[in-house]
Amino acid sequence: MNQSAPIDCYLLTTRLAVPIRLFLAYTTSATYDVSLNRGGHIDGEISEQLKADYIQRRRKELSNLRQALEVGNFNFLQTIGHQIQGSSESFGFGPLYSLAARLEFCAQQKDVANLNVAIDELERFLQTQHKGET
Amino acid sequence: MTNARVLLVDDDQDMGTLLTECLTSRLMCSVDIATDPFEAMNKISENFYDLIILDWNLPALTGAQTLRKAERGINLDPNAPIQLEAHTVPVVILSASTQEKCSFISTKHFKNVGFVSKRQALHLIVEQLAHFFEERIVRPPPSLLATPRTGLTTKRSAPVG
Repeated sequence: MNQSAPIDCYLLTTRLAVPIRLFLAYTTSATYDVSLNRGGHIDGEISEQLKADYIQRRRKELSNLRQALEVGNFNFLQTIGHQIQGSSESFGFGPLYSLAARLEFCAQQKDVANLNVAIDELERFLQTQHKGET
Repeated sequence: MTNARVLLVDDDQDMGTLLTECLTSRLMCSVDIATDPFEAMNKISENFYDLIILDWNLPALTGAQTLRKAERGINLDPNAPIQLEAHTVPVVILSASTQEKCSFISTKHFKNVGFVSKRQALHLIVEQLAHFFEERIVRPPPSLLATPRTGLTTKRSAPVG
């Protein structure tokens, strides 16, 4: 009986540890990996062309944003701010998220002065991205 | 999960393109896109989907209003997909809003199965959507899938009265 304890410990630490780890790894991640593990980090796979198109569309939106501000169409400003928040992270433009959040917030508040500032900052940010695309 | 039919309802063209590419290449499903609520309602009443991914802030209507109108449309439409007789369609809300703002109660035809925030990196969005594919989607039994989609046998009987 005295010898059984060391044998159990040995079994647990060596023979059972690996199967247990494998079981845990399988049960916690298998459902995701089956579909997703096709190599590569998905965010790194967004093509430069898609990113450039995205920035280009945001640039074209700028004039619409300024027009909306002129006529007091805060709903439009809020919608665009909300949309950019939803897409900026996915396209890998994290800093755009906070600018868009400000745009949405200021539009909700109908804060014209800060909306002007937010649109100017958005324009400056967009100018620094994908300079080759005009 | 392969060959699943997905309806992606999103008025943001950029997100629509990006997610369609990911869902098609990563999760091997076929994706229909609707960019406004009315297009979504038409597609829902014409096709049976394994999953609906629904943006919350759509032009004119919210996601919940869109589903309510789609539900009403299905109930009145004798040509609605026959699979809807026996199965609810799982709906995942995908939104930049918070989850608290995006709640809807499941109906006879649509089951709210979860929420995915747009405010995160793309790989996390796809990973979370993959979870719904693996865990939540219940495909119709083969007997229903084998039923031809055209002809009178596929159509539901018109409501009486």
